[in-house]
Amino acid sequence: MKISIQNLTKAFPSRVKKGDPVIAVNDMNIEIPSGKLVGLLGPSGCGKSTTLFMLSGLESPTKGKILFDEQDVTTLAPERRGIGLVFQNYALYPHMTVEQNIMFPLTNMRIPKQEAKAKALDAARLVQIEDLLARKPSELSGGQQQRVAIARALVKMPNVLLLDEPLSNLDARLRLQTREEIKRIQRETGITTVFVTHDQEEAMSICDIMVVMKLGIVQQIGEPQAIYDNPANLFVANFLGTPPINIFKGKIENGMAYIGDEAVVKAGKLENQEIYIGIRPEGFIYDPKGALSLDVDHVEVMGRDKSIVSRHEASTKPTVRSIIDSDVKLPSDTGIMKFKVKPNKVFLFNMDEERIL
Amino acid sequence: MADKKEKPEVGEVKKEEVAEKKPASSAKTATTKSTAAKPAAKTAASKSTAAKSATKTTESKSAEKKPTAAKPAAKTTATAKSAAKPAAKTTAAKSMAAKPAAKTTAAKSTAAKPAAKSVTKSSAKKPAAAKPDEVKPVAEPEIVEEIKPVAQPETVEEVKPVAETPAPEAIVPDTVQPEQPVLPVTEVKEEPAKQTIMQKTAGAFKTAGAKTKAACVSAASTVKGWFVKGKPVEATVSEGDVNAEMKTVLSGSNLSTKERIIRFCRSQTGWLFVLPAVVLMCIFTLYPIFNAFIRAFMENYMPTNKAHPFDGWGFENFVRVLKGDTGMGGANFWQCLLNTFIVTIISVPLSILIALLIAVALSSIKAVRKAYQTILFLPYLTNALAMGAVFATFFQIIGTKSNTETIGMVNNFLGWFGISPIDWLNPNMHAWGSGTVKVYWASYLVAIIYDVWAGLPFKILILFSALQSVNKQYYDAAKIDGASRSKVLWKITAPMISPMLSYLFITGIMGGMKSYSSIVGLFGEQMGRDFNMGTVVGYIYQYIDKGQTGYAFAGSLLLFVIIMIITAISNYVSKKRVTYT
Ligand SMILES: Nc1ncnc2c1ncn2[C@@H]1O[C@H](COP(=O)(O)OP(=O)(O)O)[C@@H](O)[C@H]1O
Ligand SMILES: [Mg+2]
Repeated sequence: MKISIQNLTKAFPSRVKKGDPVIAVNDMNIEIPSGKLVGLLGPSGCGKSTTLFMLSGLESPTKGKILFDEQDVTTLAPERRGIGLVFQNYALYPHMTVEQNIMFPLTNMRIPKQEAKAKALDAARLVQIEDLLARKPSELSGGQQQRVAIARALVKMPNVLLLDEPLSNLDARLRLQTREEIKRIQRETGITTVFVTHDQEEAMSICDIMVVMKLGIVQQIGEPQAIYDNPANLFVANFLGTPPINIFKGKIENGMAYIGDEAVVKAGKLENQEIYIGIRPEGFIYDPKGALSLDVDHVEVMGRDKSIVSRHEASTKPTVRSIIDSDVKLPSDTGIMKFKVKPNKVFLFNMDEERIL
Repeated sequence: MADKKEKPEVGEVKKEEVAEKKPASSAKTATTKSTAAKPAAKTAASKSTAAKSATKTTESKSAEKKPTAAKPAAKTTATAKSAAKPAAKTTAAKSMAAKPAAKTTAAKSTAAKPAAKSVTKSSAKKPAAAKPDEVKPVAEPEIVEEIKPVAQPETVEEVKPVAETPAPEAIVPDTVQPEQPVLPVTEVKEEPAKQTIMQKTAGAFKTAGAKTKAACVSAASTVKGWFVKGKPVEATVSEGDVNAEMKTVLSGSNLSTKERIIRFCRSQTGWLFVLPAVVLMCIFTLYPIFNAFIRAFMENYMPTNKAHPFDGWGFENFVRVLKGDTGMGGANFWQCLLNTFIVTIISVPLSILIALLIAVALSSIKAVRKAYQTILFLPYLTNALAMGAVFATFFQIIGTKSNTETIGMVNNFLGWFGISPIDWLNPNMHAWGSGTVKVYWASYLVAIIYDVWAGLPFKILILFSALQSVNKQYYDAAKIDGASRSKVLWKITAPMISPMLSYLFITGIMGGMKSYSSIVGLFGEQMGRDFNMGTVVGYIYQYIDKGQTGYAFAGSLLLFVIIMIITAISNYVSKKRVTYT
């Protein structure tokens, strides 16, 4: 099912008297094609859950419209939207068995018990928990609970599946495994899915389309790789990638971008101005004839790569981290080293709006 | 890296242990896998460790068998009886509580044959692994430089009881020696560095142990008992490294007697705080109960007759109470019991149900919630007798208005529907049955309505706050799932607050079985006509009034037993239906 979000805004009344309302979501516009997995990505408190709850109908928008296919569902009750929602804490009913939990939506739809049981089993198979049907949620691990929650959301064959940080309660390894699982389930079922997360790596790895948000405002929409390669602004550039991008204060002079007085890349026809220069960690090439000099503190060997931790006056962060291939021979002692940069890994942002140039 | 290797290895060793119970093999099991063998490690250090491990092993093992071994193996000296005879002489750590230093006397033997095959980690963890006698080849604990003890031994004393369980991996050597052929032991006195590490490691074990131990200070003695008896062997040998640690330390335990006394006293300070309550309870609750129990068996008890207070011991009081043959007329025990039971068993669930509905309604409104709450709570503050009097006027058949024949409010109301007046407060007028015990339905109805009404405020209060504690997310989930309102109430809300519902039910039943003042308020001091609406407590009071305390005591004991039975049943039922989350 295609989802279209138009000028969606949510303002919560202020807690204090006469205070400004909290704008959790601000004038959001997104078109989600049918059958895609969309990731809502942003730091905590940026309005991701609020967006999701408005899609589900649990919160009503202050302004704007939500269309499922061509139908306006903005004021439709949650149960009539045909959605499945997986809560951040799963919200499994603790007094029901796994099977009863999964069957619960079906019993509300007055589906005969036998049929409901069969469907619940199917859903359980899909998420591979068919052995756990007789257990109570408290007898399950976090990962298993999460699967039950997904099964419960899927059992009624929703048109849209909404997941609110479904992996945040899992340990690192399980998270990796489960996100693949979610991707698989989404592919198998072909259900349009909206996936909320604050973890950029998670979003990058499984989403077809990524929506980056900040303070209720959409920063950029696109395919993960495209956003990574062409961030719209400093925030997006900063938010994506591990280790994060290195940001330097610099300037453009006569068609060259300078960090300090070292010209790092060509700046094309851009006017002379103060700028931020972002260089991805993988954008450095060790080269004694390079333009950029970094004061190398130490080198971490990580097997496949080497991670060079260094300092630079113009850096906005305490350290500059660059990653180079482990085959590259580096001088044995630390100190000033010279680097070239890969132009496609360098981004220039203007100083005042932090927008890409 | 260490972690990953460790797990399967443990399992492996365990399996082997299980498979071959022969002690001979156990020495082998101690060490299984390893890589790079550093020749340099064949030193005093490694040997002493090996030997020491053996020592430890012995300690814990013997501990398993003989309870007495619990005493610290403070100076257990183990001699590895293998080719190299006095291969190692180890003084195990002393008081684990304080002295961390593992004093190890390095083996001095330069015998050509290895002393023991074992590894620091495995030996400490799997006590059953090796007996000293069988200890044969040397396994040199291959210690990697990065290994750091969990904590320096010096910190032992500061270790807080709550400290997290030590991760044994941290002190496990990165790699462990493989099947090691005979190793010549030559360079005995070299490599002091290794020795230090060994000591540190040993110290770390102690620390780890101390932590674990401290974590169960108060339970320590008990726990020790268990471990010493060797019961939880599976637990010990299984992946529970901690258990094994604890076992080692506990069995080879090292608390001084003084320390133990101090700890025991500290763990008992709680008594001081509850002492006042305990004393008061003894005086005003326990003693009277005990007293009543005794008096119930005194026949013809007459407290005023000092010379001859009672005739003798026996069940006479009970027999007469149950037979209704007290020779005084008045209340009948069975009638009182029936009255109490019927009114209670109907009014308690009913009032819980109504209270639940009101509480749910209350929590779904926001505007004047506080006002409603106050109003609803008012009856709780009202005297039962006063309330009873008000109810009594509602249900009057003859009104009191200026002495003319007006009818009570309820009858008036029923009159509109053509129902002729009912004499609610006169039990005899509307009774089912004909024997000595009858069902006075009209009066029961009044009592039930009264009880429900009077019980509501407290129940609403409790349920309302219970509702507040239910996570709102469950309701959101139910909304998404399309559950109707009543379904949400019965399938989600009620089970979620089931502990509170069961609490209200059980206390409600208990309270109902003890009701007295409500009936007096409604039906007067005589509890209807000649106690035919009496309750069990009313029955008891009546005989106290008449000075026939023997029947009163017998009646209270009977009531006690009945309440116990009913409570046990409700408990049993609620256990099946209540989910504690
Ligand atoms: N019910 C509410 N009342 C007031 N403010 C809210 C409410 N729910 C969320 N907010 C605010 O809206 C903003 C967005 O919240 P949310 O959507 O939960 O963020 P997240 O992206 O972490 O999911 C936050 O600043 C939060 O404090
Ligand atoms: Mg959220």
